[in-house]
Amino acid sequence: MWKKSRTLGGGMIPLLAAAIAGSFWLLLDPGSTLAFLVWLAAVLLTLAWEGRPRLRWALGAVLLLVVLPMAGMANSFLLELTVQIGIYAAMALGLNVVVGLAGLLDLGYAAFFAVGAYTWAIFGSAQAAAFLGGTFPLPGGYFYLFLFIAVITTALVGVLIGLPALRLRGDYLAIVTLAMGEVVRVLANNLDHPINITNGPQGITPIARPPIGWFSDLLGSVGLVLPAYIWYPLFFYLLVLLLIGLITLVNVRLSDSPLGRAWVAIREDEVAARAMGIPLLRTKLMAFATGAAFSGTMGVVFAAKQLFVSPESFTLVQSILILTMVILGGMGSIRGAIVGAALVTVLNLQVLKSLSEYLNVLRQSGAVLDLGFWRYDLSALPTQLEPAKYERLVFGVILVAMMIWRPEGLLPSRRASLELHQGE
Amino acid sequence: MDWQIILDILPSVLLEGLLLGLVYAMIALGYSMVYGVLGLINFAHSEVFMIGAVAGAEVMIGCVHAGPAAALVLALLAGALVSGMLAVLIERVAYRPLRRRASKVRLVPLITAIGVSFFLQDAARLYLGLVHDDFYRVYPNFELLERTMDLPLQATIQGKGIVLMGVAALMLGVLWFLVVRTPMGRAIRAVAQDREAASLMGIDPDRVITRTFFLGGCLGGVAGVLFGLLYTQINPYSGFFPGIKAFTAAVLGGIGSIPGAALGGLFLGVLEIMGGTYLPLVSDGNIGTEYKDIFAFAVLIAILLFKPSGLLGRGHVEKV
Amino acid sequence: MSRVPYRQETMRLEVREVSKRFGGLQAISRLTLAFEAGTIHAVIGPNGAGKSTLFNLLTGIYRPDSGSIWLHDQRLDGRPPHQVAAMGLGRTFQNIRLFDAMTVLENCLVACHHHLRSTYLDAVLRTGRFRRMERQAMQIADQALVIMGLGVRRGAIAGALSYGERRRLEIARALALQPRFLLLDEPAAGMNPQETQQLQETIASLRAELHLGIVLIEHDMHLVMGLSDKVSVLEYGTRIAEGTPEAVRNDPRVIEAYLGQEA
Repeated sequence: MWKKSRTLGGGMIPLLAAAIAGSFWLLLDPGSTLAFLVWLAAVLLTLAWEGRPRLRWALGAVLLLVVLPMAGMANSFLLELTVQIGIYAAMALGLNVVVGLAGLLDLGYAAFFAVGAYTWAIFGSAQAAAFLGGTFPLPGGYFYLFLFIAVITTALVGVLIGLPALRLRGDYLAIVTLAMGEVVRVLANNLDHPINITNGPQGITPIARPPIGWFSDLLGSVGLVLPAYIWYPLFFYLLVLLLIGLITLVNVRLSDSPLGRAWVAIREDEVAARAMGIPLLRTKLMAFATGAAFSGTMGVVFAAKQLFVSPESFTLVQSILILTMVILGGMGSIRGAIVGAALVTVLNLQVLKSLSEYLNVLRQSGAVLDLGFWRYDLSALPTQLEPAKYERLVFGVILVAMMIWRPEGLLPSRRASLELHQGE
Repeated sequence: MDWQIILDILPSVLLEGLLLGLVYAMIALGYSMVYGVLGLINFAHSEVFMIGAVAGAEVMIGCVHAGPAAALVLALLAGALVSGMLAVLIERVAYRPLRRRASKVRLVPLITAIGVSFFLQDAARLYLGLVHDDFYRVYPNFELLERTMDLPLQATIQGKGIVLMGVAALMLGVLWFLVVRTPMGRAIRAVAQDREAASLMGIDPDRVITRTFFLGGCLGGVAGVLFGLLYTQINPYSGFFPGIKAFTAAVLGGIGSIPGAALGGLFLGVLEIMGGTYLPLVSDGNIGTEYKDIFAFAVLIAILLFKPSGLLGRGHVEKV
Repeated sequence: MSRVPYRQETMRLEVREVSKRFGGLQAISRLTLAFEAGTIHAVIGPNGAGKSTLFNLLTGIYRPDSGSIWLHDQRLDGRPPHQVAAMGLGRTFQNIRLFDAMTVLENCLVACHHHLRSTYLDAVLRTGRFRRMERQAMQIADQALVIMGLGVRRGAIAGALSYGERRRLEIARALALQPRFLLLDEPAAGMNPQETQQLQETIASLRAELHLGIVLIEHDMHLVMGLSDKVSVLEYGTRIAEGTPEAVRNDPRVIEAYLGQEA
């Protein structure tokens, strides 16, 4: 055991270097995207690293609980971004149960996120009064209760959708879940008449945020006096970290339990699994409901954080986005799901956007590229050439490339790496 | 509510549904044939269709002065060729490497297909953006194609409707002939039944698969041009809904069955137009046209649940 | 679905007048057979005689078109495979179907869980009950692995095993179900003579020590004759002969069926 961690601990020096460099850089210059990326790389390396567990935990704790919040006080966008990463990571963990462990390709996963988000959005805003009457919004304190209510409602919706869909063969399941995901979106878009439940395409706003007086008191009591504008970002950041921790724990424990083994058995061979006493439909439903519940909880957080939900946030693209995270990280791999979520989110929210902005700057600079034999006026760059708009292209390339060259993902689960390369 | 209105517009509703249904039928065949030989839902087929439509628009706009007949023929040819070749390319680049590896994990080809589909949507968008600095293409107007003819029962049909029917019937007929009456068709059917046995009989499965993709792609491309003609505007995401509806049609008719796909397509087309027209009427506008896309999904879900082998398909027993 | 107590000498697995048709092919027609606990009962016959179909009917993968299947006094046909398994029918597959990505031990653990119920919450909270159930499952699985000589391989990934080991793991996995009847579909296929000899001894000991009823489909006549208490011969989905290995070997209809096929 000791020996093993020593040999695998080979990455310790680069890891420490990245962690220290990223931390200092980020603290000195919280506005720098590059510094954030180095910090993020350090977090992900810590996650991927298989060396000494204690050092790993300590390092992770410092990076996540000390460095980022401190940098976030200077630049609250950092908190915003990491919360976004966290929400996606939690959803990727949920989808990982469905796709990675149980081998069920769910292309409508964003629907569960939508159900969770709308659950809080409707009752945490005046919207519920539109069809129930009475006085709404509910006081913000209900937010905490709704985190649990969403677990139950989305799990139920998961079972409802799963009951018919999960009787189908794998490839048909994919297209039916895709269809059902679209149905949920179309319903959200159109249920503003005859009864106004979702407020249609305009979406719902403002949505109540949880009261966090206790949180600022808590911060004050340990001697941290922070400006008020940082309270909510910091609160959501810590909440999301906590939820990811919980979801990861549930994930790890389930995957090493009879249910988790049954999921993998079904993924590997349905006929053999049934012959070994595994009830197919019920086991698949459990996977579906588990994944749905994770997603639904994060939906509640998303609604409260954004103060606004609309059908736009729950499209097929969202479902594929999360699928891309799971595939990139490695199907069935818990660490992989988190790493995949971080990479894809950063790519999507930061890298592509920065590229777009950079191109815009080029365009407006009016500069002329002169290679002697070829001149190009940069202001003539087509305005449609905006990388931030080409997320589908990026996801498509990632999906295809991973499937062809590295189907087990960047951080393969113990089970997957062997299997996918058998026939080579 | 006025039943007389419903009855009065029925012929034109049916006719419109029939036209849309023919388009669905042609796309459905592409799904069905590929599913037959590879057992794969080729998600990218909806983009093959869309890119065929874009190619057709480009050619038609370019040939606008050559007159409607020449422009139309060239556009159809371009749509067929571009889509056929694109389908073959997709198979070569994305699907074939996976077959070589013969991975046990069933999700791999499916996820690849989704990736290709997404990639192509934005690739088309990039093309339109870079070349035209625009987001969509519009099919040109030809007076001859727009001209309206009166039919009995107060129905009318436009010139392009007649073209659509003729071309679709021709394509479906040619395909049926190719698959049922020629050695190539026999090879396709043999590979669909048992790839290994077919290869033992001297059939090269890869070649058959390539041809299947080409045929399916051609049909999809022609369908794309006809669809563009009918609805005039094509954007990079135009393929998604027709694609999923056509897949539904293929499943409805029994995947792998040619007459099944044709019938399924017609049924879905008529259902969609009827639902979209009548539901707002019947519900006094409470349930609007927005739900028309859901009909296909409802049919898909119902058919998969109650008769997954489709209306004309044969049952499937898994070998254990 | 109560489990019938163990070591019941009279336990029988019966097939009564069962027929099964696939399209134009009558795979099994009005077949009646009875298997008894504590005996090894071989089912032989030329290819396509319906042997594997019989297994799939017994284990609930196919539904018979007519007729019924009974375990003791409980009807099996019409039940889904996982219930049939839980009621005490463990099986192997002709074309080995292991959970390749899982370890040897996990393969067996999967089969243990139908009778060790711990809930979702137990697993998440790691309750005492959960740990107790896991320990029990571990014991059962380990026992099965030791019986099949795979104890030392328990941590290996199933997909990485040798062919002979894979065949044995399939049997171990079926044993971890703690079945009353063990259905073996060509367990010696592809094994060398030495491995086959070892397998023969193991199967014999299963009958003796666990008092299992063992149903054996096998083409290796040496193994069949050396091991079986009773042999049934199928042809075209019907039984053409039944009896001790000796009697069957000399039955003219059997000789004809086999020679007719080989000629």
